[in-house]
Amino acid sequence: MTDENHIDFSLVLASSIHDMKNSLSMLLHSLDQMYGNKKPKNEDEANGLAVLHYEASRVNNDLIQLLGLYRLQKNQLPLFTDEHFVYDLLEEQVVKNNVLLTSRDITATIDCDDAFSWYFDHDLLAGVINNMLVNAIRYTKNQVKLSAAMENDHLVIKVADNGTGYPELMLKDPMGHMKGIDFHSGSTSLGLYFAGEAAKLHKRDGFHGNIHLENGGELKGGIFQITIP
Amino acid sequence: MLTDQYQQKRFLVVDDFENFRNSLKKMLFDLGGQYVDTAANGNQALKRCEQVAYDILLVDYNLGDGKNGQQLLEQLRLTKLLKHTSIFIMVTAEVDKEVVISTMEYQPEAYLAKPFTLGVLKHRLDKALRRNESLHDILSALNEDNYASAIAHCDELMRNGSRYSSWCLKTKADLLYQLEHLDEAKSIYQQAARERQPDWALLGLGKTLAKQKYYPEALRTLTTLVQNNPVALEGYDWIAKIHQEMDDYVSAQKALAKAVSISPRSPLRQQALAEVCWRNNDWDMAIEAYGRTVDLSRHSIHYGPNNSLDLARCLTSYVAVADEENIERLKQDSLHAISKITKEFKGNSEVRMQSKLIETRLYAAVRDEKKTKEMINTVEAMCDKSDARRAPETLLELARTYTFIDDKEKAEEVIARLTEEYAHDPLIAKQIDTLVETPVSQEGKDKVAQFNKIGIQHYKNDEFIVAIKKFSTALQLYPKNIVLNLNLAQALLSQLTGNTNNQEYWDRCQLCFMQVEHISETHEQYGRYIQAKKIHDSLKQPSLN
Repeated sequence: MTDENHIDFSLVLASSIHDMKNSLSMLLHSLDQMYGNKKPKNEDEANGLAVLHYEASRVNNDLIQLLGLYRLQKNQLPLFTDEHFVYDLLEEQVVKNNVLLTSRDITATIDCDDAFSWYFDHDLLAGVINNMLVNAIRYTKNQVKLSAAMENDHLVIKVADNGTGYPELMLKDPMGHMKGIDFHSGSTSLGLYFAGEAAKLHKRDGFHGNIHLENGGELKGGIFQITIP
Repeated sequence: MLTDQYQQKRFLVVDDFENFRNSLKKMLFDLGGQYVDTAANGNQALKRCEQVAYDILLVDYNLGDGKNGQQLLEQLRLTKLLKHTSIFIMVTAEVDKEVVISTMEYQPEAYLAKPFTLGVLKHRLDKALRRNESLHDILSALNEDNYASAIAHCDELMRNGSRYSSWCLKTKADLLYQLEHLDEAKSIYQQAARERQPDWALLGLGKTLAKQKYYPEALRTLTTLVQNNPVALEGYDWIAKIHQEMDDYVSAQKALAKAVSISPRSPLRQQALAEVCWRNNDWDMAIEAYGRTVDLSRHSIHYGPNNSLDLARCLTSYVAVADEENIERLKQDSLHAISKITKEFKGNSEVRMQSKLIETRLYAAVRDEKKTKEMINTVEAMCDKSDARRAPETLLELARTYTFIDDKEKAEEVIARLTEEYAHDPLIAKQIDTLVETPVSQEGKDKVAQFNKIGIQHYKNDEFIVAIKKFSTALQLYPKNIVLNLNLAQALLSQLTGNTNNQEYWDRCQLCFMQVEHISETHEQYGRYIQAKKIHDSLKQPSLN
């Protein structure tokens, strides 16, 4: 390859993603405009609309995650930690997925003190929680629960569902799947890998954040847990 | 989704895409909003804000040509068109790191990443409104600049265990700092920093310590801040300020260069960097930073002729000391910068005179005597034609130029006029200091005295190298000061009369004498001058290899 052909891939990626996000934005807006205030005519139409919203937001999440992962690899992902309300963070992820929750008849609950605040990178953690919520929605029977509390002076957020739980292999080594990408569980593993890296970036007094998977709990399904020091 | 709380609110939507404007407007109507205005660019938005005090502004970062969303926010904040009780939401599809960092610097109330749904918009608006309602008394007091009342309301909310207690604590400390109740501010920052080192506490503590002149402690605190959070830009700004207070311009440059490499889009930071580079004679960096200052301020509230004039001044000063091979290129760059100023600010006669004076120095620097003479005659004719009271900047430029072309009599005349009219203005006085033997500003007087004291101390302890360094640093600030020049000369001579056969020392010594050669026989330092000069003349110039 000659120097003339050398391009800054990060720049290309960033500007393509910028462009794609704009298109996506236009797509969703025109969809809303087409429907205006009209209610969908029947169940099929309502479902179709839900799928469109769901897929669009998945593409959007994937794009953000893609750029995030690329920057992680290049050590270019700066952390913007600030104090945020944890409840607001969780609630917003539920709001984002409202259409999907309603169309699948899934109940989402939040268990977190309204005034509980913590220091973290809002966009990064929002991306992680949103991913895990979408994942839970996909595998749950009819319930998901987001909870957050302070444990041992660390913030612990859990995303639980009442589905069949995570497979044994994943429980042992949540980030291990990245060693060979499996296209069947690809998006989950990628999501977990990203979550693990995002958690690790948060550190305080020698502690790094981490993620953890388990099955059971109150809802008897899968539980994703992220700890932020 | 219809809620009454949006019925009474006045919204402004700013986006360069009509489609986005319309669909956002529709979303706001869906939420129950009734009063929604739109603007397609920053200037339109400013005009709207001059007429209507909006409650909620939704502004896209990207606004096409002209101002961007952040420059709009900055201008609205600085001109107080945006009230503390209003809500500014930055809408962005940006994934570019630079953009994200630069918007963080002016802290909008919320961000909204495209694409977003009606539900997410409502969620963000609800949260922002809830916060502003809870903090209403504080924010209203801030609108009126009534800090004491704002602090009282902060205390009240904290006593009641508000959800926003930690914001109240930070705000209270920052307001105490503004009011110069430094000890009170410091104790809040210290306690918060002990508990969990949030950025605001470390920054506040560093600023307070700096203001109380505890420089080493301030530096330690701010260094911890930027180690914890490498994108805490204000931390680097303050580190640089403190280094400058301690006359360590090299470290100041390092701190600012680091901040600029993280966030290159702030014109004020670029300007600060340019100034310290110039002081350090790092010409290329200085010129680059001045160039960026000019570009970045173009659509912002910081736009004006001074940035461009600084660039031209810096280029011209560089020409005067540059290597032969670079002179022609730099001369062309200078001329280009000057002609741009002339075109851009052609209605402003003061600016025109200043740029002509800079041009005069340029010709003098390249030893084009004919053109130098022509230019100075033109300027003098302009001066004579109007007896308008000249701006101090123009007089300073005139004094610099006369000094540079060695017209001492006229230089002194202008400096006398400047001193008489403007010595009370600390910024102008500081500039005059660079042109005269004895500083006119109190700060300058103190600094010279301080440097002299330290330098002499080292000299007496036979630490000549340190003494030379101290006197030289002071002379960078006040090159014409007689006492400093003679002290440096004496320190250099003590090295030269020893066994140090050093060409550089010899040259610098020579320069000291040149600066004071006009000393009058009645001057109290005259005896010292003659004596030192004799020693210098008795020395042989070190041989050149």
